[in-house]
Parts: sequence; C-alpha cells; structure tokens
Amino acid sequence: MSKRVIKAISLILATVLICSVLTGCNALDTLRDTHAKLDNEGNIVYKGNTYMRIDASSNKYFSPNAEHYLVATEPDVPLLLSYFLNTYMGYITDDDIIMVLGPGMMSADYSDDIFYCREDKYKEVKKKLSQEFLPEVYGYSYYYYDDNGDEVSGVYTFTKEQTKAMKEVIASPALEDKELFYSDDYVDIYEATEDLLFKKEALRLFYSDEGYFVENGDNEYSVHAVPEEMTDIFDEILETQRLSDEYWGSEYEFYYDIDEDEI
Amino acid sequence: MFGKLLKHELRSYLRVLLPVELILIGIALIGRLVQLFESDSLIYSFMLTSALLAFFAAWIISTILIAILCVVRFYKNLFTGEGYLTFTLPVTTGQHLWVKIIGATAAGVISMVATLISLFIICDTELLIEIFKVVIYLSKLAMDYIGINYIFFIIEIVISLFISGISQNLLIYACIAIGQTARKHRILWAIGVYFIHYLITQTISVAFQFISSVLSITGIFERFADFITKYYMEFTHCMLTFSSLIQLAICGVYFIITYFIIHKKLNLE
Repeated sequence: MSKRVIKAISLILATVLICSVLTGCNALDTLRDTHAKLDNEGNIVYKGNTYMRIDASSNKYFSPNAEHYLVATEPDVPLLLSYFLNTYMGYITDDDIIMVLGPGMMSADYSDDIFYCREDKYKEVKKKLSQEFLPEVYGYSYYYYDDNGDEVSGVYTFTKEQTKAMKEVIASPALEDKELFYSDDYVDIYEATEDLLFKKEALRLFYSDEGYFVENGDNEYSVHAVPEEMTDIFDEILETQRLSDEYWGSEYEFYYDIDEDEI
Repeated sequence: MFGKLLKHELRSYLRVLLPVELILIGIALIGRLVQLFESDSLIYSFMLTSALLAFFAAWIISTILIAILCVVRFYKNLFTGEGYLTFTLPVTTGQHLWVKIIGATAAGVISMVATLISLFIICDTELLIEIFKVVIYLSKLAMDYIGINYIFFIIEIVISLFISGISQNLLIYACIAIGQTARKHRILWAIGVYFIHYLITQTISVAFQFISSVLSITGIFERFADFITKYYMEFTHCMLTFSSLIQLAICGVYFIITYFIIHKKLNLE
C-alpha cells in the first residue's frame, strides 16, 4: 500500500477518534429529561429516584401541579424510541415528587390518572391523603406563550395580604339578584394546601371595567363585590392572568343578575 | 497478469476516490465542529443547517461522481484510443470485463464505507450510541418474533442489494457496448439503448401487473393464499432467493452481451 494511501487512512482514523470524544447533544439531554423506566417491581425509576404507585382515590382534592412532561417505558426500551413505545405518559411536579400518569402508546387500557410518589416522600404524602383538606393558600393556574414563543405556565399563589383580602371579600355581604351585569373575563381561584398538592376549586374571580366580583360556589352560591379600596390588591393578583389574557384574547362572557346600585 | 491489471484498475479509482472522500470527511468534520457551539441562537441554527446541507450536497456529488467514474473508465479504457493499448495486454476479454466489474464494485464499497465514516464523524457520539441501541432493540424484537429467519433475511437482502448494484453497472456496460456497434454518435446510441431497455422493462412490469389483477379476479390466487399464510417465512425466503437468482441471470445476460460485442464486434475509434 502506497505511503499516500497509508497517510490518508491514518488521517481518517485520527479524525474519527477525535470526533468520538467530542460529545454533547441538547436534544438527547431533553429526551433523557423526560424518560423514566419501569422496574421489575412495578415502580418507576427517574433521575436515579424510585417512584412508587400511590392510591389517591380516598382524597378527591388531591391535584398536584404536574407540568413537566415525561414518559415511562419498559427497562429495555431505548431512549430514541421512548416517545413511541411507552407504557405510561404524563407529567411530574417541578419538585420531582409526584407523577401524574395516564396510559401510554403501548398500553391497551384506558384509565383515569394514576399517581406515583417518590420513595422518600411516600409516607408523608400517604399521611396527607388520609387527612382532612385544610386550605392554606389561594391560587390560580396560568398558561400562555411569551414574545419568544416559549411556553409560560405555572401556579400563581396569593400572598398573605392577598389571601386576607380575598377572605374579607367572601365574608362580606353577598349581592342580591336584581339586574344583569356584564363581565369580560374570569379566572378560577382554588383553595390549596401550601405544597399545592391538594386543591379545591371554589371561587371564580370576575374582572371587568366595572370592577371585580368574586363568585363563591362552595356551600351556598353567592357573588361578592370587591370594595374599591382593595382594587390595588386585586390588580396585583390578576397581573399574571392579564399576561395570559393578552395572548389568548378576551373570550369569556358572564351574565349575572345583579343590582346596578349594589356595584 | 489479471492481478496486476486489477491492482492498476483499483489504483486509478483511488486516485479520484481518495480526494473526493477526504473532502466529504472534511465537510463532515466541519459539521461536527459547528455542533460544539450548540445553543438556541439563530446564528447557530443557520450554521448547523448550512453545515448539514453542505454535507448532504457533498455526499450526493461524491456518489454521482463515483457512478460517472465507473462508466467513464469502462468507456475510455475499452472503446476509445486507450483501447488499442488495453487490448494488447496478455489478458482475455472476459478478464478485462471482470476487472472492470470488480473495480466498479470496489469503488462502490469504498464510497459506502467513506459515507459511513463521514456519518459517524458528523453525528454526535452519544446519538450514535443511542441509534445503535435502537438497532439492537429492534433486532432483538425481530429475533423474538421470527427467530433465526431474521438473520437469514438480512443476509438475503444484503446479497440481493449487492447483486442489484453489479447488475446496474453491467446494464450500463451492455448499453455502452451495444452503442459501440453504431458507426456514428455511439454515446447517443448507448443512451438510446438504455431508454429502450427501460421502456421494455416497464412494459413487462405493467403487463405482469395486469395479468396478476385479471387472475386475482378469477380467484386462482386464493388457493395459494392459505399455503402462503401457513408457510409465510419459507415463502419469503424463496421469493428473496428467487429474485436474487433472477438478478444473477440478468447479470449473466448483460455480461454475455458485453463480452460478445467486445470480443467479436469491437470497432475502436
């Protein structure tokens, strides 16, 4: 073999060896970030942690805010096939404690959501499931896309001052049925535990140019007007929701019998 | 003498192949280096897209170049002024043909290997490992489903593809050889022969499909349907082997045509 051919082959081999060391692929990292594996005991392993199935049927308020997408596959399914050959698909909470999963591509069942809890938090969450629901904060979910086209989603949790203001509004006298009033938008406010694992939708906050109104559909249906002196606090509450409204547009209408004199 | 002729044939291929494939590998290396600066910026997207397009274009050009090289070498070496020297060598006509076939096949294989190396260079190593895992996983699934037949299918398909590649070369050689029997415009005649061959094969294919659809209406195939369903593995093996043998027979026909014309009807310029 001539020297030129040997040199060329050596150059190619050297190039290949150097390139094999240069690694790093964001797309693969993203796939890994959303890939969990089932183990032989029916648990799920994700980022080195084991998740055990937890029965949440005893507590109807169990509603974790799971937004980070993931899929769970059999142990031998390769990463690149995880989106196609998964047994479960769903979401995990931002603190990586609770998974909310549904049937995946390889599952023949159709079922309600199932929950998996991280092993180290299992007992704690199981205990909370058996306890009575005691709301500690108010909050609402939001979801829109920013100017760069990136998804912005999450839960806006009220501050102590805002929670106190909301409680005062609910406790104030309800408005009586008299005449129609028109409101452009509303947002569902829920009561929740501080860890946001348990939620109950109870309130609806209507906002328009005429003011703010809180609809309480919990035990007895009532509508309460937000006093003018609390407008600033509710402006602050709805700041995030208004960003969402800018993206989605104003689509909701609400008609309610209300006395204009009461507004 | 045959060995020496083959060695010189391969050397002359390498004179063109080596720089072309090195350029392809070089472009692949540039593509890989661009990926080191991976980010979400528009500039990176533009650079990466450009690098990948350049690599794809280089691959297409190198493939076409190799194909043209195989044809041009055959034509120039045997049917132009070079032929006067070629046919003075103490080598039979058949051996000349075999040298051309082996040379072209070797060039194709080298081109394929170079393409694989360049793909290995341009792809991230982790990605390659994941792709490899997918291949292993799917192979395992196939083995679980159809057993050892999977390996035999792979072998049969590879052999079929290999014979198909040689068949394509031999077809072009035969067309060039037939074109050489004309007094003028020999290359145009060769192209004309190729198109006539294409028309004939397409006509036979359509006729075959027509006959099949007519027969299927009569229900004659239903008798065989049960048999095929029951022995589908064996049937598939038979079909693959049969198609390879047909291809081989067609290669033989092209070879004989080319050999006969070169041996008996050669009329150098």
